[in-house]
Parts: sequence; C-alpha cells; structure tokens
Amino acid sequence: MDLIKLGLKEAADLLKKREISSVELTKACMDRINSRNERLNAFVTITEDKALEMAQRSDKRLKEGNARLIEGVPLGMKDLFCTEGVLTTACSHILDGFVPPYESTVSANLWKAGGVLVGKTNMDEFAMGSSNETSYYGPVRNPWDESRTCGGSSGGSAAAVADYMCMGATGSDTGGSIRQPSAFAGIVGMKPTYGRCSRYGMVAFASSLDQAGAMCRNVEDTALMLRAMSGFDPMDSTSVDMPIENYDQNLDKLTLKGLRIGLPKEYFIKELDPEVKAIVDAAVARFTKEGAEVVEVSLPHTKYAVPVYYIIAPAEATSNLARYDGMRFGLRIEGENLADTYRKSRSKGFGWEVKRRIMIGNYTLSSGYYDAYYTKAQRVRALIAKDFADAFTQCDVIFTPTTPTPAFKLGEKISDPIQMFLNDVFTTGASLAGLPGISVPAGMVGGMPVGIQILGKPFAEQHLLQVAWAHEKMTAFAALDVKAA
Amino acid sequence: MSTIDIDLVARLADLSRLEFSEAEKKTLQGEIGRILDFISVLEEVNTDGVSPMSSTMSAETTRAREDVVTEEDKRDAYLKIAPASEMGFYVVPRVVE
Amino acid sequence: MLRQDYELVVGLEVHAQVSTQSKLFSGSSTAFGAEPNTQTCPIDLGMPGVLPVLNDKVVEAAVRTGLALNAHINKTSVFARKNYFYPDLPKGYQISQYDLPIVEHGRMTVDLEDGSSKEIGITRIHIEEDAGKSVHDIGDEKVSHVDLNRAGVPLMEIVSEPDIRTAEEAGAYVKKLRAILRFLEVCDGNMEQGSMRCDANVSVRKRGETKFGTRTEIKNLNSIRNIVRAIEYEAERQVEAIENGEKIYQETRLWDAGKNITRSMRGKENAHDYRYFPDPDLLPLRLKEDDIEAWKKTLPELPDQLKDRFMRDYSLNNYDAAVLSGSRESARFFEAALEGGRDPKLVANWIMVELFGALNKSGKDITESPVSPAQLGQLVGLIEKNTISGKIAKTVFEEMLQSSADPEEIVKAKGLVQITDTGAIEKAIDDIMAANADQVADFRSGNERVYGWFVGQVMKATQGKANPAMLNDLLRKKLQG
Ligand SMILES: [Mg+2]
Ligand SMILES: [Zn+2]
Repeated sequence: MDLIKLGLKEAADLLKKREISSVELTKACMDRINSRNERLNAFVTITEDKALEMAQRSDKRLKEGNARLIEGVPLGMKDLFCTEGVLTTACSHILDGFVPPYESTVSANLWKAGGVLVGKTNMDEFAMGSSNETSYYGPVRNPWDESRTCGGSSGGSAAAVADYMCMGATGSDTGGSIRQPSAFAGIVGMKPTYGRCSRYGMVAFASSLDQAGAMCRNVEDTALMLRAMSGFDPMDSTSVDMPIENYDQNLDKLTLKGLRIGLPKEYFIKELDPEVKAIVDAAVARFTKEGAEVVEVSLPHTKYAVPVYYIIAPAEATSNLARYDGMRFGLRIEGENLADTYRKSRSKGFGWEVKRRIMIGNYTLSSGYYDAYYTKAQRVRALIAKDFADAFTQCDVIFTPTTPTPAFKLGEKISDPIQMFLNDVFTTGASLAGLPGISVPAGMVGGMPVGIQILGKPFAEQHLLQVAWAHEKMTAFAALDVKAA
Repeated sequence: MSTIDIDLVARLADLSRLEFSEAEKKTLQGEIGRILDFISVLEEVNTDGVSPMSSTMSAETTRAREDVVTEEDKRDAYLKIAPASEMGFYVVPRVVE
Repeated sequence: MLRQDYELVVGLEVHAQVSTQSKLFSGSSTAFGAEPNTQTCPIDLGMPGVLPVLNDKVVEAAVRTGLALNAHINKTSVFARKNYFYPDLPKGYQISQYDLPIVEHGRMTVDLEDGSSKEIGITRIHIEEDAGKSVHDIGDEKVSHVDLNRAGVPLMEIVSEPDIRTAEEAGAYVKKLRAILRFLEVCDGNMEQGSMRCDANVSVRKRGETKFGTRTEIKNLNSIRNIVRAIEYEAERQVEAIENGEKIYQETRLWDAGKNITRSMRGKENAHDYRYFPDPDLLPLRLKEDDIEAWKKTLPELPDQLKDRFMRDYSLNNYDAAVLSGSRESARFFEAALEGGRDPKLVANWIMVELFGALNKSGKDITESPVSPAQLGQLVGLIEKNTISGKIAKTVFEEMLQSSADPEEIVKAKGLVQITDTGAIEKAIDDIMAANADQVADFRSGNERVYGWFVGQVMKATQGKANPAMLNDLLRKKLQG
C-alpha cells in the first residue's frame, strides 16, 4: 500500500480500523515532504516533531476507541492561519519570527477533529497574488511542470496536496485563491459561502471577501475536511450561526435529472482558451446525458468584477496591514525616530506587490477619491451580487471554467499586474457575491490539468459537493495523478 | 491613460508609512496609473439608486457578546514576541507631542 | 471677562468611558489601575487575524444615554475604521462610528447661577474604542513606553452643538452631563481617572457676526475647573490675536494646567486624512424597537425630572432645585433630611451653604459627610421649634462636623437651649439697666444707637441663649419705660 496516495477519507477509515497507524502515515508524508519540498517549495515550515507528537496522541485515541472525525490524518496548513507556538508569517518578511500565542478557529477545529499538522504551506505574501511569486520565501513550483506556477495565493497547499505530501490542506480564497491553484494542480478546492468558516486567527487580507476552504484530491475528502473545519464561531462577528451538514455522508443523494445548469454567456469570452472551453463543454455534456438541463444565463456585470475587486480588496488590505508597524510583534528596523522606524520596518518588511496594493488602497480611500472609487465599487458589487441572485432563479448551479488557461509559466505575468489580475476573471465575481464555489479537475490541456468551477446559491455547500461528486463519478478525474516522482 | 503626479505618489507613501527611492516612485507612478485606468471602467456603470454593499451579510445585524471578562493576564507571552519591552511596557521610539 | 464686543462660541466633545467589566470588542478587563499591559489580549494588541465582537452592554448604555438626552436613536448604525498610525493605537485604526452614529439630535438644559436656564443641542453620540497610553518620562529619553490596558476600553463620544456662549455654560454643561451619566449608571464620571475627558472647540467672533470664527480644539481638560479656565484663557487669547491683526489657525492646542495657558501642539502632522470606511469585520448594528422600549423603561428619575419635582413639591427656586438634583446623592440627602416635615427651603439652605461649604473645605464628597441627613433634619427642627437660634445652630453644626454627634445631645450637653422664659430674660434686662443708668438716659434722650449695645450686653449675660425675638420685644418695652 502506498500510504501517501491514500485519500483523507480512506486514510481516516483505515486508521479507525487500525490497519495503519497515524505515526506511520505521518512519517510517510514526512518522507515525501523531505524528498520533494526542496524542488516544489510547497511548505515554508515543516513541523516534523509536532506532527509526530500529534500522530502519537492520535494513535493513542485510536487505540482507546476515542477516534474523532479525521483522527490521525496529516494535513497542511496555509501559512495564513495562526498556529499557536508554530511560526506563522503569511509568507511576509514583516512577520519575521512571529510565533502566535493563539490559534485560528479553523485550525483549532481541525485539531479538535484529530488532524495532524505536517507544516505551513507557502502562499503569496498576505495572499496577494495569483502565482505564489510574491511569497517572501520564493515561488511554489507546479508538480506537473516545475517551470510553471501552481497558482496562488494558496499555491503551496495545492502543490502539497497534488504531490501527496499530505491528505488535505487549508486554503483561503479572497478572489479565487483556493479555486485557481486547485485547478492548476489538478485537485479539488472549495471556497464555501462567506461566513461558513470562521476568519478568527486567519491573517486578514480583505475582510469582506476572505474565506477559508478545503483542498483535497477528491470530492469526498473535500466534503469531509470542510465539515471538520467550518462552523459558527462567536469570535467572528461575520460567522454564520447555521448548522453544518455531514457533507461527506450525503454525496450520492442527488438526482441529476432536471438539474438546471446555468452557463453564463459573459464567461465564454475571447480570452478563453478553446481547449479549456472544450473541457467545460464536455463536463456539461456528461450531466445532460444524465438528464440535466442547460440554461443560458446572463451575469451582465461580469466584466466589472475584477476592477471592483481591485478597488475593494486593496482598500480593506491597506487598513488591515496598518498593524504591521514594528511596535508589538514582527520585524522592526530601527530608524532615527518614530516615523522613520515605521517607514523602514514597513518598507523592508513588505514586498513590492503588497506595497503597491497598500498605496492603491490609500488612494481609493483618501478624501476626494473615496466616493469615485470605493463607494462606486461597493455599488457595482451590489449589482454583481444581484446578477447572481437573478441567475439563480433560473438555474440550480452555474458551471464556468475556473481559469482562462492552464497554469502559466513562472515569470510570465509577474511584471504585468493587469495580466495577473485577469487570471482571476472567473473567480472574483462569486467572491464579491459571497457565494460558494468549487473547482474540480475536468481534463488536461497540453499536459496540464484544467478545472471547472461550479458555483451555487448561498449556503448550498452540500448541493455543490453533490454535483461535484457526481461529476467525479462520471469521469476518470478523481485525483488527477501526478506522475510519481 | 490616467496619470498621477509624483507628489501624489509621495503623499500616498507618507499615508502608507512606506519609503521609496526616486526610481521606485517612478515605477509606482506608472503602475498605479495603469491600474487606475483599469479600474476606471466602472465609471460607465449606471449605479443610480444602488446602495453600496460593504458585506454580503450587511442585511443582518452585528452580533453582540455579553459583558464578561474572559481573558486572563498573559502579558509575558505577549511581550515575549515584542521587538522591545521593559518593565511590562512596550518600548517604542519616542513619541513627540 | 471677555470684551463686550466679542462673543464666544464653544462646542464640547466629551469622551465618557462606559462602565463595563470587559472591553468594547474583547473579553479583557477594564478595571482601573492595573499593572501595565496586564489587561490585554490579542484583539486589543492588534495581532494578525483576530477580530472584534461587540459588547452588548455598551449598546444599551449608548441608547439609554440617547434617550435621557431626548435624542433620536438610529435603528441602524455602522462601525467605521478611522485610520492613523500611533504607537498606542495597535491596529493602526480606531473602530468608531462615522456617518451613521447610534444617537443623533439630542438636547440638554443647563441651569446657571443667575437662575436662568439654557438649552444646548447634542449633535451625536457614537461608540468607539479608547487607545492605549504612552509614557514619556521613564528610562531612556529616546524612547516612550506604551501601556495598552486602555486600548479597546469602551467610550461614548458625546458631541455638543456649538451652542455654548460662556465658560460658565461649558462648566454647567459638563457637570449636568456627568450627573445624567451617573444617574444612568453608564459612566462613573471620574475625570481624574480619565473615565470622562473633554475636548473644547473654541472660537470667537464680533457680536452681531453670523459666521463662526476659526476654531481651535483644546485637549487635555481633565476637570471642570480646567475646562472653564482653558476656555476663558483661549477666548482672551483669540480676541487679543484678532485685535492685533493676527490670524487664528485651526489647530489642536493643549491645556497646560500648571501654567494656565493653552499651547499649540507643534510637530503634529498637517491635515489628517483618516480614510474612514465601514469596518468589514463588523456588520451594521441594527436595533429592535422592543429593545429600545425595554431600555426606556429602565430609565431612572433624571436630574431634570427631579428638579421639576423639587420646584413643584418643595417650592425651591430653579437654581437651588438644580443644585440639589445635580447628583443622586445630594438629592437623596435632601429628601432624607426633610423627613418629619421640615421646612424644605431651610433644609436646602443648610445643605447648600453650610454642609457643601464644609465638605468643600475638607475635600469630601456628600457620601462621606460626617453629618447624616437625619441629623441635619434634627438641627433644622431645633431651629424651627425655637429650641436654638440660627446663630447657635451654626455652633452646634460645627460640633456635629467634628464629632458626628446628634444636635440634640450637643445642645443638651453644652446647655445651648434657648431661653424662652420671659422672666429670665426680663431679669437680665433689669440687671443691666440698673447697672448702666447713663446709657438708659442716653437712649431715652433719643440716641437709638445705644440699643444695639444693650442687645449685646443681654446676650452676653445669657451666654447667647436668649431668644432673639423675645429679647427684642422686652428690651424695647423696658427701655422706652
Ligand atoms: Mg473627536
Ligand atoms: Zn473620539
């Protein structure tokens, strides 16, 4: 048995049956990480000792018959989530040496369910980027082709999961940061509805958009992990007090006959790679063969989603990043006086992309420009949300490509911010509307995986997972296999 | 093509507590200009009568907690990760009033 | 006094700490006087990823204060971030309320010493968090020390309209506001401990001018006395500057209580751009009508209602009624002293003149009065029954302040009971007249001034205990022959 290739659910079942132990599973993952991470740069912190300790405790519980939902399963944690006693930097130099004295709710939930932390995954600095090239610790390489990006900002999590370094990993999605890297890595990644997962202890990028989610190698694993990590949190005023269903238990309880699949005409644009389009068409065809219906829907404000996103996200980020001032934690570069210390610490601590977004955010929030940019963007955001609400009166789910192209080459877009932004064209709309979305592997183009995105109504996570699971059953794409290295 | 003058770049840098070389300021001037161009497409959208949406949950009310002390003193743990502290205080460059 | 041809215009911003156990957005304690930084948590410290959750007690306090100030309660209010860098502001922004505060459009009446009243508008009340404290005078002079215990402490900022026209009005406004907050038990009003702080926006203009002059904002006013003095000083300064042809700059000035001056806070950055925007970590605060109604029912009898009742039931004048209703303790003291049907005006006078005078001198609060309300009532009763004279009563009161003894005991022990026995008084008069035939003749020849000398002699002879009215009666009769 190749332990590292076990899915999360499969591994949890074998652990419960005590056919394998958490320590041997964790060691297998560690071996994989230790042999592969130097090339892929998926992890920025490897927590080998802690992982083995947690695995031993899980084995004890398993032995005693006290196993919890995902007892003993090795997981990666995006470096955005604060982990008590474990270095957390959001891949920024400004959080140099920051060891949080508190735990994020999402990670705490996973530990409470029995998860084992193998390490912190690489990401774009403060989640600002779509290629993982803004990380202070260098880019992640795509396990399918190391000259290519593995997407961003949750690129490290995508690579770690695709490359069998762990059974699942957390991601965070502000404008597509779970879905896009999942598509680029050939895995499943789900961003639930805004408010489903607590944001407490997740380093903030853009507070009205940030949402944690799960990244795994198949739909059932994703459902199980999401179930373990989400839920109401009194520490987050925007967390929703709504019960979490047993997502992984109900995957087969959907009839495809009569399922209305919306195809938004504005998403099938000229920039869309024809081969990518063919993959979406093929996925839709699988469903219609089973009796699903296709509805053409319109999301008329689609082309404004990326511009709206690039006003709102930097504005919120500017304010969220003001706390990195060198006074109470993180990097301080002493200057000649207080103002100088602020400037030196922040200028040395933040990378270029982050600094540029701080500047843009301060521009659009400053007096004289606020209404023209920020308020205007919030109004258009309302129109975008309304587009989706209208579309969902005509369909049950919306199918789109996750990205316009497969993973691009490292270095290809990093010097052109607009080109980089356009990579988010299919994912930002749902983020602005707060809707759940899942990216599932749907085919290959030029040897690289391609994903389709399925969007649903607010809090329809269960439904989305059922549709995604049905797709997986109809294809050979569950766990698109990385050529074993 | 939107252009922003270099003084505005300097003022934004000041608001941001960031410092840039002259060359970096020039680069930013260009990049910010292009991004402003890119986002200015919103001008063409008619938003008359549309309320600004600050959160997808803004129709709800913020939750409130009970007035109870739940935190204990963990000063040492917090000061341990501070760049400078003494006598229980955070030490910062002198604040002039 | 400000020159007659100038008018003063003042608006006040009062920051009142809401009396709570925990902070506005975290579960840290708000207790006063703790060791530095022992009452902080990751939320107060602005650590990465942590989030604010609103304290419901503060919402209730703000609404009840709004109701007490006859204000409009906004069913929807919004928390906004005010962005600026400062070492005592951990997040780099203060969570406050900006264009949609919880309370707007209130008013309050203040009572002035000349017996008049004046209405002052309340622009708004908003909820916000306090910042920490920087200490500049310990250790290396190149550094400051920051204590974040106060960071996140809940405040109500109560902003007045620029309706205030004299320093006295400003003092009366703050006193009245403090009384209301204390009656509501939403703020302890302790200015020395910083639980109530005041900034004054001050400008002057020529009388008859309708436009406001350029205003300065004075900070650091930590007592009512300082508020009055600072406004007086600043008004004079501005008039003098204008008369000298100088320009008034819109600026922040600090009150220096040691030197009795305001001074410009130089070195502060130019114009602030706070880049306010709705805090995405907090949803709008939406209030339910039912909750507002329920809170309305919890409002206690407030100073104005008490004052009206004192005027109506006890026939006190406006000013006396206002002073006695100015705190729950003084109102309670007054009404307790009335027990047994004492004359309210006499009781009011004794409290306001003698008791307040004595307490003031010893720096004590009415709750620490050595004389109980019942004892003061007894003393007034002795005067009413003619047992002692008003003059003797003052001696008895002095003794009461010292020993906290009952007035009746003091009167008895010292034999201070008034002589109301006409025989005894007559005898004393006869003795004195007999011994001073010359003076009697002098009086009878028309020298009225000698009369006073006789009164003094009789009082001396009776050790001051003769009932003054009786003495007067008998003496005149006898002298006139
Ligand atoms: Mg103010
Ligand atoms: Zn304030």
